[in-house]
Amino acid sequence: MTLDEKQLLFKDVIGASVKDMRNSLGQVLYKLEEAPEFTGQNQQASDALAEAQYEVIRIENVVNQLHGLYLLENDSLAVQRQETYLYELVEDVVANMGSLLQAKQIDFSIKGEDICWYVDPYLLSCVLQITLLNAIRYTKDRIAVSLSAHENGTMISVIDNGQGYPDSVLESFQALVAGEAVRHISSQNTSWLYCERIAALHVNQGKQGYTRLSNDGATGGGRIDIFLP
Amino acid sequence: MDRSIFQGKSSQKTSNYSGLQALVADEFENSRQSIRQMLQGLGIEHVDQTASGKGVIDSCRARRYDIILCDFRLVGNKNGQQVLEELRELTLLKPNAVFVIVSAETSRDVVMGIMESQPDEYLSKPFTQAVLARRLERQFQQSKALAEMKEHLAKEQYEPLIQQCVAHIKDEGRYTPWCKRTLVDAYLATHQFESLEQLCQQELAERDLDWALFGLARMEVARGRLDDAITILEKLLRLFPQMISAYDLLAQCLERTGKLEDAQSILEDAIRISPRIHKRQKHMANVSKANGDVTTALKASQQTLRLGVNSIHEDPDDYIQLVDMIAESVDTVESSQERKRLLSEAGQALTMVGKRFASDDAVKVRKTLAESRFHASQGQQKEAAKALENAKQMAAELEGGLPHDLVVEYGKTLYNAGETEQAEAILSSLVSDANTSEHLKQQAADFLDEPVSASAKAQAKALNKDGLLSYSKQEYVAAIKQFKEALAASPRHPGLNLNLIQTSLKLMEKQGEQPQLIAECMDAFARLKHVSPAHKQYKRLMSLKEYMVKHYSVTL
Repeated sequence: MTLDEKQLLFKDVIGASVKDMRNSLGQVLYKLEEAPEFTGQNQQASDALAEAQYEVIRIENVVNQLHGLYLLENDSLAVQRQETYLYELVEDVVANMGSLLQAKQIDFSIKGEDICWYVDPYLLSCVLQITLLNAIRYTKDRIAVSLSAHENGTMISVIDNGQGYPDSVLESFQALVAGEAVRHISSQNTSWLYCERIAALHVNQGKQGYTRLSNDGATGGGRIDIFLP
Repeated sequence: MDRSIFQGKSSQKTSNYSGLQALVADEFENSRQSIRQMLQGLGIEHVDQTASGKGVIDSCRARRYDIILCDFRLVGNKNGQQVLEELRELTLLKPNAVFVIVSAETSRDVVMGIMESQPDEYLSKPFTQAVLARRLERQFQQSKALAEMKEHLAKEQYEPLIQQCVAHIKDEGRYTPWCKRTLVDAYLATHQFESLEQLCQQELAERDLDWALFGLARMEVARGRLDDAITILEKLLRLFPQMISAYDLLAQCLERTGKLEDAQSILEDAIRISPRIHKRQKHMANVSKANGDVTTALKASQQTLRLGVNSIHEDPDDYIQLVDMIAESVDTVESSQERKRLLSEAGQALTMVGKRFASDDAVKVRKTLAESRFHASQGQQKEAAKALENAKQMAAELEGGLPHDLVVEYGKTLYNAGETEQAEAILSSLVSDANTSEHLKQQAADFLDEPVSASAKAQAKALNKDGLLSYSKQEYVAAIKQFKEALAASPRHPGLNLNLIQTSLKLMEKQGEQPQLIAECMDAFARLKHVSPAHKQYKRLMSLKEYMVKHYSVTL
């Protein structure tokens, strides 16, 4: 067997394993959604369920991101851009983690027009899921998503009202998107790397998509901007 | 924002969905159960389930579903993509049914294959009930809004379709993107090229769009401007390297302009991105065979057959093609184990085609002819002759005799079994028969020109190229040597023989008459008896003959 064939085989192994994991995660998610019917109004039980749900969505997200980065490295990620209503897309992603937001009593809002934009809806969903999970982790009690026109493109911003990121995190994000070597690989920076790479796949008339991390001027919490030309 | 998006259950007006009928197909029992419960939670009372592709087809025969949620992976030998294609082909889907392919896979070949089959919706696992509810609601809204336009489209009523699309766009309706794409199709079908160009250019001024560039390319193809189409498609693929239909169209354009090697390399790119498409693999098998690349042609023939079995694409051609390709390439395989495996694969393909098309007598004839060719290629002349005899008998028993479109296959088999004169007679009469389709004529003529293996053709082609280069540098002696080597691989090739004659004449023009060269020219003319007035090299043949007779004391 040649090296190429071995790599090809390994790609299939990864693909099949990811498929299995996603199938299982689907089952776990479904059972967790169903569980409140059996636990009733027990506060402890519902807190535990919310935690479990959060962790399951995180696993799902890490699997997506891991496989996505692997496929990107191998130049075999499927990218299919199409006209997509962004407001609707954000709502879809939120709907998938709806009971989580409810259980954590996070106030969620979307601002902006329902812009129809040319994106890969599946890949962008993964990016939105990452940014929202991040916001859920750090927010006090509020997350806002805004859609706005920006330099012949669209900007999607996810803003929380937590403590904001320390300078060291902002610096390491800068280094990451600038393509510098990452000193400490963590799930946080691999997820940002994924977001940046996916945004960069969106190109229009010579302009390329990008991501930006900062602290929001108004809320003082964390803010991630995703620019799509 | 409406908090109801969090809660699939309470957000749904149960009454909307209660009368609908749904089908869930998934290989796993627990997945089927949970999706079924989600649907029931949305108020759908009737939810059937099945594990296999055959199950989906059978269920759809028995009942007209409004919603089908079908996983890509199913029990048995059909996947979700093949099931959808088959349901469409058999028209077992209601026009407003929503077919959703569900998949836990994110590998590109699967995702691309699913996208290419164009389901109404693609839902990746895992998903919650709320997401399912939202997607279904959206699909129903869309199918309601576009119902009339879709009906016009299905009935090819383009004028009202165009009017409604234009009106929807003018009102800035929600389905404007769909309307614009549909307009491109409608303008193309009605040859309204100016409107098409205006629409696409207007869109492209705003942003890079694959479908607008693709529309322009298709327009150029329709106008017969293949080179312009090629330029646009190349630009399109630089901007959108995963626009799969652009590869297919580009390969077709390159093929039609004679750039077969470029066509093959484009198809290679396409197959790397989306290999699970029957027509693409079949195209690759034909193009690479024409290029003499037997290894690729064999692989593509194997894939074509694999993708065709159990699908609506299944075609006896694919079996026969595979047997012929194995016959041609088995000698080039080094490992004896691999050779053995290939030979048994050919045997299996012959058995399978006989079984799967058992009621089709014409296929039986084709199978037996292929058997004969296969034996002939392995040097088993006795078996080849026997199979040929059988085929002749079967053909004689067919109502109306041998079908017209099998004459070329028959002629090739005769030739390979050593009955060359009869083969030539049959194929020549086919070429000069006014009732023969251009396609068959071409096939017969091509075989008469080069009744040799694909690899011999490729060898001849490469040597001919070398010879032409030498000729252009006026190195006539070298050119003659190269053309003669090429002719050893493909002796009846008209272009090659004429190149040899023309070069010999050039050399004698410089160096004076040489009996050896005259003799070789006479041999070359003798090898071209099959070139009829309809042949594209006929004029050239006649003018060279004339020149020869005029300048040298020969009779032709």
